[in-house]
Amino acid sequence: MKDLLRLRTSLTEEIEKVLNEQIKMEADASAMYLAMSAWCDRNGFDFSAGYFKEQSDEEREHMLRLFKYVSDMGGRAVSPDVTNVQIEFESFRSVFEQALQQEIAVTQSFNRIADRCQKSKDYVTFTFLQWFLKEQIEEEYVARRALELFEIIGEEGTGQYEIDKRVPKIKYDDTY
Amino acid sequence: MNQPQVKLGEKTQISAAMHEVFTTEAGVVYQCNKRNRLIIDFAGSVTELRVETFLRLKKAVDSIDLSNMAVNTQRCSDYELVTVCGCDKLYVLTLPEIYTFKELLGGAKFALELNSMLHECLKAQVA
Repeated sequence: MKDLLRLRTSLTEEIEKVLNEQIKMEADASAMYLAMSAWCDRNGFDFSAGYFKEQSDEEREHMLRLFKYVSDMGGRAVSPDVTNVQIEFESFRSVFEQALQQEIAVTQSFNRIADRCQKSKDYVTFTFLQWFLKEQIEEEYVARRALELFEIIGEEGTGQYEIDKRVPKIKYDDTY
Repeated sequence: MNQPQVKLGEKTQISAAMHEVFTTEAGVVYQCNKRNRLIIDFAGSVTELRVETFLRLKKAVDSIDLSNMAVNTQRCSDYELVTVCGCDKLYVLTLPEIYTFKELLGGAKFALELNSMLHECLKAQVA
């Protein structure tokens, strides 16, 4: 008897489900960064607004990369609902704290997916995930560095202005 | 299977391209290797589905809250309408029918997964 399940897709139901959950997580992150960009714009942090807009675009690209993979593998990629996007933030600093927390959550999520891929011996998806795992090093680094600027520069006087100016200049040096 | 070569439900007339996937007292699920379709013979009707649609149908049936149907005294809860995209049939099912339908679809899904595993094991041995 033919193996109809495998003819349909090489993804198991479980892996397809977790990848779709990750697609939603990336879409949520993209929407959240866009909201942060808008908040920064409203409060006069021009450079950070641009930085978060770029972050939002990146998250959307990550979502599309996952979406394409699920589709290419014969799975059912689901365009996710994005609702209840946070609009207001407590302070300039809290925006960056939340951004770092978001990146940590994404890294943990990818780790869990990689773990599931290994358990179900899906090394094709596991290899596909390597790009994201590597990307998360940079994402977390940049988010952490941005938050550290608050300690180094301080928020008093023109501190917030200086922090805002420095944020887009943070670069991850992938030397080695 | 080019449209019903066989009268489903009568096992003796099943063509060579058709394989019985799972059977219960309430119905049968066949697999057609020519058209890569699943054929469900249940509640007096035959439905031909793509694998994806079959999985969607199973999910829809599994999501029905049987205990709520059992305790709800409203007449509308005596029946459940089940339809999914890609399936031209609308199932109108009573509680016992849903129970048996769940059993049939669940068993068929299990058999398909088992078949998939066997294929993998056999190919691994040959390689």
